[in-house]
Amino acid sequence: MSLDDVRTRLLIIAGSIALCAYLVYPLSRTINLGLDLKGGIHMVMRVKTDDAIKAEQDLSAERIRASLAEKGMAPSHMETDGGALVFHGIDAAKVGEARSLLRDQFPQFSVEPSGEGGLRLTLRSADEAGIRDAAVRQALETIRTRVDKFGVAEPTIQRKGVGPDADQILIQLPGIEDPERVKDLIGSPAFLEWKLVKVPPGVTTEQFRPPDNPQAVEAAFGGALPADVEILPQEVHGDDGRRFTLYWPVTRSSPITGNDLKNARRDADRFGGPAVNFLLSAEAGQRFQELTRLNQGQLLAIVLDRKIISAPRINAVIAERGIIEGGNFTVESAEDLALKLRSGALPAGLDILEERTVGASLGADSIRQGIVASIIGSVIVILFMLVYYRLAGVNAALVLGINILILLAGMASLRSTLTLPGIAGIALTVGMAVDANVLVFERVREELRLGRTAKAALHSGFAKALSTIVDSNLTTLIAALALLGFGTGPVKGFAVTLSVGILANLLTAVFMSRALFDAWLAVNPRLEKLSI
Amino acid sequence: MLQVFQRSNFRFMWATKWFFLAFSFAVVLVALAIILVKGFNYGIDFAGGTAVQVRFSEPPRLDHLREVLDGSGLGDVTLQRIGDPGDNEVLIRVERESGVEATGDEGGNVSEKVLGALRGMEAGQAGAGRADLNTISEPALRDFLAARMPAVQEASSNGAAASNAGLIAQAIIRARNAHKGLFTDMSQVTAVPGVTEPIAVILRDQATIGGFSLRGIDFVGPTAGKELLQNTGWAILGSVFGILVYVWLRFHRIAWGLASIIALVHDVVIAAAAMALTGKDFSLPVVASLLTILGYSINDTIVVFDRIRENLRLYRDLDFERVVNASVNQTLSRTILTSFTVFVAVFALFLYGGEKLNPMSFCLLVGVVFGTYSSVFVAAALLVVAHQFLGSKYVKT
Repeated sequence: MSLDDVRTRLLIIAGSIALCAYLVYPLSRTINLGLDLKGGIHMVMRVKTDDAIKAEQDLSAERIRASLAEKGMAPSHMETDGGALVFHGIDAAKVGEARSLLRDQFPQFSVEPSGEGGLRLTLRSADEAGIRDAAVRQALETIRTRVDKFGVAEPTIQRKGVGPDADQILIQLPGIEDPERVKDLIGSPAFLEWKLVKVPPGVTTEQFRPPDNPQAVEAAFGGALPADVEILPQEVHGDDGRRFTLYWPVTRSSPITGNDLKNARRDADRFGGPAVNFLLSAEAGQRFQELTRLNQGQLLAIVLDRKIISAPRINAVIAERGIIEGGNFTVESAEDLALKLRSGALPAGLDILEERTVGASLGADSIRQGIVASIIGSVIVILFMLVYYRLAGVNAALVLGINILILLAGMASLRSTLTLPGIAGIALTVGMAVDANVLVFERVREELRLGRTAKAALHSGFAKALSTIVDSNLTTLIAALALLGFGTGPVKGFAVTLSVGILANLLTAVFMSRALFDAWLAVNPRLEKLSI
Repeated sequence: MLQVFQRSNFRFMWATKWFFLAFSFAVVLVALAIILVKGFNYGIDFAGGTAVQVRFSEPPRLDHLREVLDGSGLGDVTLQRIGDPGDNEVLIRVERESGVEATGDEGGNVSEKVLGALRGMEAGQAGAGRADLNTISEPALRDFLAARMPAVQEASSNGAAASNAGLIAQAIIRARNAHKGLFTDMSQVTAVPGVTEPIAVILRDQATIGGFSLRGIDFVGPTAGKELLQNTGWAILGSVFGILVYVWLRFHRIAWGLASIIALVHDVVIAAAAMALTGKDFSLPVVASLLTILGYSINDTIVVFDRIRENLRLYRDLDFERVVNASVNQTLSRTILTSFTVFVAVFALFLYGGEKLNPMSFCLLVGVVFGTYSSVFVAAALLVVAHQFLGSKYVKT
């Protein structure tokens, strides 16, 4: 072994150490902490794309009916059957004509005859998939906008899953600890509607008081609601802190909705209480003007996600600008509502499939405990190596240090995330890293016992232990990779540290430990006795 | 020179091997019985449901807490004190409701119900309905301050007020983390640098210090858990197969691969049974540690096998069982030392790694110990058995 060769190898080691040190400095910025360590919310949500399909069908049903009526082929009634729309009572002679008309106008449906004078419209699967996909994409955009406006640093909001699971959205919000508010902010559809209140016959608008049960509303209408009226609830907080629900009869159709909004801000009402003001688009402003002009003195219900916020009397003609007030708002809920309205409504509801919230204090505790445990483990392992293998133990300790440095540098350059199980993976790597040293040192001892010189013993010790070291590391790597393939979140972090640690281990055990020994021999060419 | 076993010459093979093979077989049977009869204490990851971890400022009264939670219609609730007694920490676990399982709806709201119930406990006290500085997050606190800092707002532009509120919110949240996530008195908040007297007035008037802080929530819906269990099975099968093929290729004969795989399965089954027996949380990290046991306990086996192969080439005429016994003895020191260093590192995790790493490190500990045992008493012994019954065709490399 020439001196030059040793020098080259030492230079390579020094270079790698410098490179790794550069890659990991400063640790706080290069190592990406998982949410379980730095705190935050991790959520997987599912977009209820069925809602979007339903909405599409409802919308189409109205237009189909209108389209048929225009040609004098009005159906007598309609029903939904599973995912299909079935129209009955079309003039039997005109069914064929109606069918071709609908085929032209509503290509997203397949139109089949259904019994006498009936047509059955089913959404084509390609179009259905398109609607579901669009709903997920729109939900993703809306959530992104809401989270951005809430002001979360470095959020992750992305689509997750493939095939039938492609309706999932992954949301990670570092540093957020109040899941209740965030879930409301992200998950509520925020679909706003304005509906006229339909007072029962024989009651003036001034006299009308909404009852506290829906049956009373029906009774007021003589037992059956008119076709264009529905009942919606309003939650009211009494002055004494009691909560109760009132039920209002309102129009089924909504002349103005949240889709017509251009902007919304938190504002103050006449008494300085929290409220939300809004700005409608020019076109919707004209419709609103018309609506308020024609219905002076009536009540106009403001409905959010099928619940009435308030139902003020129309006292003036209102155009683009208006205010939503009287909804038991707090400053925060008014701010959140304005934010949600600005971001647009969700096209469909959301289900939470998984949630992991970690408070920053818990994350900090985890980091502290993980690091303390790793350090204690490392110190004991190093002490043991020093006592058991003496000077060779120093070699093992040095190499262990380099090993951990490479592991961290690998994590940093892979931009992988360090999780709590990941810290466990590092601790485990410490224990396994010295395994290679033990294998070599034991082999060297064996060779020494056979009477070999220090140099020869080291040489054959490394050579003979090599295949064992490679085999044992590769089998562990197989398991680590299987883990990487299936693992999610924190477990993935464990698999990553373990895999990178094993690779670093191979490098240090096979190459660096050997180079350090050779350097030692080069410095003491006449070394008779190894301290091992 | 320190040496665990210098020139050890134990009789691991011959009659001894039958004794230990029988012993291992019995232990695996008992382990399987434990797993089947007692079952795992599945954590949230697999069982689904909700776990809410809360830290109280006062020592919590579990009976009262249970009453409150039972009264809020949550179904099956278990309460558990965790951490140091001084931490006043409670883990509230709500089992998955059967109705929720069917629809997948509303499961995500269980934690809200729990927190709502806890807030309700405090409702009688002053401060109900105000912003709770112990549960508010930084952006929310920033908005809270920005909306209520008229003095600052008038003095400067809107943007400055917002950024100022942002800085103060950040400082307050940092201070809260420094207080282990829980303020116990408003004076701790008003003492935060940057909280001027006008802001202190706002906080005293419109905010409150709640009696608890949220440490964490875990909710897993019904679909996620099933999928995970399935994936777990595949990962274990995949790595067993991968290791089998690797060992087979490296040692040229399938008997070596099978002997090591049987030893591995033995280790994993026993480690899993230890989890079932102790009732420790069977969570995702525990599965990770089972897989790690698979990958790690093969190491000792490979050390022994490598030496057996080497010796078989050196001593072609010697009796197979003798070679195996000698090889086991020659590698005994390193088999024990390598496991010892890993054991020490994992033991430190077990003792000091905290609540969350405890089940995982316990599982690893058991696996490491039995992995060492099985490389000698199962893997090497089975190799001899294979040689005796199948003949050298399937064993000699």
